[in-house]
Amino acid sequence: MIRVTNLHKSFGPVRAVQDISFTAPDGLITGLLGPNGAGKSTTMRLIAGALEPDSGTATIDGYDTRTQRLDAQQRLGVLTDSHGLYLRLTARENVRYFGRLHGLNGKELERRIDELIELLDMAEIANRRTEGFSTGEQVKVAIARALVHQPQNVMLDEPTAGLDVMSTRAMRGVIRQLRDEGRCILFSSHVMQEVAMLCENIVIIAGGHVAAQGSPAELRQRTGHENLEDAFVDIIGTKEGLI
Amino acid sequence: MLRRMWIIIQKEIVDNMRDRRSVGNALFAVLLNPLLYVVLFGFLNRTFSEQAERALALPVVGATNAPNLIQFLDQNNIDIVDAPEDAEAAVRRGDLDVVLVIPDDFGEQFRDGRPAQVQLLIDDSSQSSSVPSSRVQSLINQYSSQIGNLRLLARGISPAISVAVPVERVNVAARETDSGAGVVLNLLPVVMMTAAFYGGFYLAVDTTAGERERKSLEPLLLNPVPRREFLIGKFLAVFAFTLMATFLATAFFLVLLGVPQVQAFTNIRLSVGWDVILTAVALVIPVVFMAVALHMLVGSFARSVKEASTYASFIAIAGFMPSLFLSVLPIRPQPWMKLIPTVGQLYFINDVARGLPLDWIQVLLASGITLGIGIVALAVAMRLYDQERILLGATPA
Repeated sequence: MIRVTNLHKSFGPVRAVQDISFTAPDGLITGLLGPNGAGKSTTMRLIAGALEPDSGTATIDGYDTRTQRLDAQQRLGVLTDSHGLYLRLTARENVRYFGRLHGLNGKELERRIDELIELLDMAEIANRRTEGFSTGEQVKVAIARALVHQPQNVMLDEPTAGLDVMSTRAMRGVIRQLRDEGRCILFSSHVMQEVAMLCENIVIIAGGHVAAQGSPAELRQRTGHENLEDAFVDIIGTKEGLI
Repeated sequence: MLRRMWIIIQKEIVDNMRDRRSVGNALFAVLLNPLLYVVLFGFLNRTFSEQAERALALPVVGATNAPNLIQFLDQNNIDIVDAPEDAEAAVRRGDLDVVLVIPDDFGEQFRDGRPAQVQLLIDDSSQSSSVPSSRVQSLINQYSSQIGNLRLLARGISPAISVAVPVERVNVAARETDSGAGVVLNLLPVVMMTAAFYGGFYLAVDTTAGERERKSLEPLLLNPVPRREFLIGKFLAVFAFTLMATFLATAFFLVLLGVPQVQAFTNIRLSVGWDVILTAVALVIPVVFMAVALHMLVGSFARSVKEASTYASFIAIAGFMPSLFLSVLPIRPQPWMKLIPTVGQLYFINDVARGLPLDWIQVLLASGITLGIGIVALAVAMRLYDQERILLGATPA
């Protein structure tokens, strides 16, 4: 479970995140939806422990990402918006490196990597160096790397950005499967249809604030719109930045 | 912690060794540099010694005025040739290196026991005339003192009386070296410092600023590992690589000089044992440590690979410049100079190469200071990794 409480973060004069609070429970897919530049990525980087909040806390299964960073990170798998693979290592070596950094090794690690290669349908590229991989192939490797230690909490920053239709469908399947295993999934997107299709819990962020949060039904009810798209536009106050 | 660092070191080494550019870069410092020095200085030395041994053609004006002197020169490997009409102009134009002029009254002066002067026409600004002119001059001096001695003997005086202060040159060099070998040994620290400061240059920048620029640093730092361990792991990988490069450069340089065919080419007789090679490399370890630590620091601090490379090249130049200076301008070191990082090691390496004993207290002090600077640089770099600034690019978002 990921819990965010009164999170603030500024970069110089730019107030990227202002007083954001929400909870992403286990066994549910929680979507962070918002226009570009709304503060989704910064929020995720704060949760992941890459950045330090100016105030407020983010906890993963109760571990504070600032004061108990290593415990929190042990329970979290992250797909960052830049995939950042090592181009001179093969796909398998990329995944293996992160697995070993999480304390896995030997047969157990290799078995886990094999499972991920099958789950993500990447047998063909597993032993190739990642230089020259397509975006879809890069995402697969990056996801495998994030999941190698079987984290209870999974955070995906724009996982379908740049993917073709087939890869996007496959990605959704993986996300649902992770949910069915009882994990906590937090993913961000600026694609409304995607969030509407996948998420049981939606947090709408605009201008560094939480504009609204709840299940799709709750959001429709609150705004009085039958259509979820109209509800979003109503909440954010503008169509700008949403697709 | 050790296990995790080993994982990081392993990954960096595999990753780096697959990088043709970094390996090529290191090979450049390792192989080309010593080879260049050997070829260059071998060539110079060969030219000098050939000039000294070869029969020298000496144009003489008025050779018939001094048949005795001419015969003496002829016996000493000088070929006497006729001088052209305008000998002075020929020397000035550079057509001739040196011309001997014997005046018409030479015989008369000589017979009367007065100084019978001869002239050597040279061009002081021309490098090629320095070796032949000094050779001719020293032969004439020899001839002059022979005649002088004979004259004294003829008057019943011991020639010894005219030598008030004789000078004996005693060579106390511990290793038997000729002058060419001395010049080459002065280059050993240059080879080693260049390898220390340039061997890991690219890797240090690539694993710090490069990893950040390729955006793989953020996913890496999200692993449950204290961030400073990544820096130390990367440092150790680059350090090991640079040390290996430095060792190879040193060994290659010295082994190359010992190869008979190379010695035949360079005319430099020098053989150095593995004990010298290993001691020299051991002496330079603190410098390698400091150089890599400083490179890692600027790589962690800089916002881009380009910026990091600029800083790192300043460090590299500052690091190997002293060795270059001191190889051509040998200054007698003051004791405090030996405590300056890289300068001290220069003198130690030079001493070792010449077979002189080392002052171990000085070595320990200098090594301590050098290592200390490296440790401070590493500590600052570790702090940089612990701050979120390391993950904020030029455009935070």
